[in-house]
Amino acid sequence: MQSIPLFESQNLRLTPLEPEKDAPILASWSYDLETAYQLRQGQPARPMPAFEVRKVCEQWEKEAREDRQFLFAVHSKQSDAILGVIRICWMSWVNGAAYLDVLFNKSEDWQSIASEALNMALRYAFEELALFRVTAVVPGHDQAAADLYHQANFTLEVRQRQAIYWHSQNWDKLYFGMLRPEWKMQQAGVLA
Amino acid sequence: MTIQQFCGKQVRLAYMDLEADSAQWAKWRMDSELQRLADWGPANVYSQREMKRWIEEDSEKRYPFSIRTLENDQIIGFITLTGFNWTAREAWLGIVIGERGFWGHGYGSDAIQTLLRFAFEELNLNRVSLDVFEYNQRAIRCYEKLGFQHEGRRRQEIFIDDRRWDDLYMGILRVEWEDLQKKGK
Repeated sequence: MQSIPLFESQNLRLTPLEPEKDAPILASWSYDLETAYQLRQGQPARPMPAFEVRKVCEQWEKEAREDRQFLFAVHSKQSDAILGVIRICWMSWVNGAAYLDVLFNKSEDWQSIASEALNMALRYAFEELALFRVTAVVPGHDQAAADLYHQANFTLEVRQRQAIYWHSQNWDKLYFGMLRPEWKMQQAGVLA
Repeated sequence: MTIQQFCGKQVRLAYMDLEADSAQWAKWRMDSELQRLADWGPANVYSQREMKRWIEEDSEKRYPFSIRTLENDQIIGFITLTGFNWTAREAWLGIVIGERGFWGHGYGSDAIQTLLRFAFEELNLNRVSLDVFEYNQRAIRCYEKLGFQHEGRRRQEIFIDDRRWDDLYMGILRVEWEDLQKKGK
């Protein structure tokens, strides 16, 4: 058994989400409509008050209790501030498949933080949950999110034409996927 | 009463009848091959009570119909629009023809044509999406004929019969559908 810690990286720590404490902070991020879109769970995006975000968090917790998703708050080791939320959700145990949803405060350095956290989430998905594949969905206008998955060596698998409406125009919805053998090969390369 | 809008050439789309349709759905679900063609989860057996709960759950967010033959009003399957994104004007289509005797005779295509007309002309959608497992070749050919375009595949998403299969994504845009109507397809 290897001893790489699952819940800790160089700068970050994965912890349980605490709806009471964290919901007001997540709510303050929801003026960013991409974040709001993730929190609104399919409804048209708008900024969300803390009490609504708290309900979403509690719904996530419920699904986590039923093993339908795995839910992590991402904290800075240095300041202990919450920087984002990572979910491994829509679990399909028979197919060994799930979706990955990352939600971050769009600070200046959010991409490097998200990338470090994503790596922990992938390790957890493949090495702890024994998944065969994960999917991440990105709106076509969100280049930073697409870059995040490209850089993590995901493959762009699906481009749903005009499935997103954003800033007065239609954009494609992108589906990225990573398979277990691809993750293992990447790890072998990293560790070699 | 037959409303033209919900009638195709061979079938009509009817709103769900909670008692009758839940019993029918529970019966069709005993066909495990049908479930493997249609469902992401493991095939299972379901009581009528469970199917009733499933029909009622979140029903206000979905647009489900039973598919009935024009000839004698026999119920042969179900078709649904779900997962609406009202700003992008998009929804997902799902269909199952439960009566095997009606496979391969155009009934499913007719139901889809009728639902697409409703989706584009009444709901003002811009696109309709679907996904289909790679082993469901009959359905893939049907969607292609109806004008759905291939938009990619989630590799090896499904594990069935000791091997992995892709999940294919297809979609049809409003302009594509309108072009097909002009050509009389």
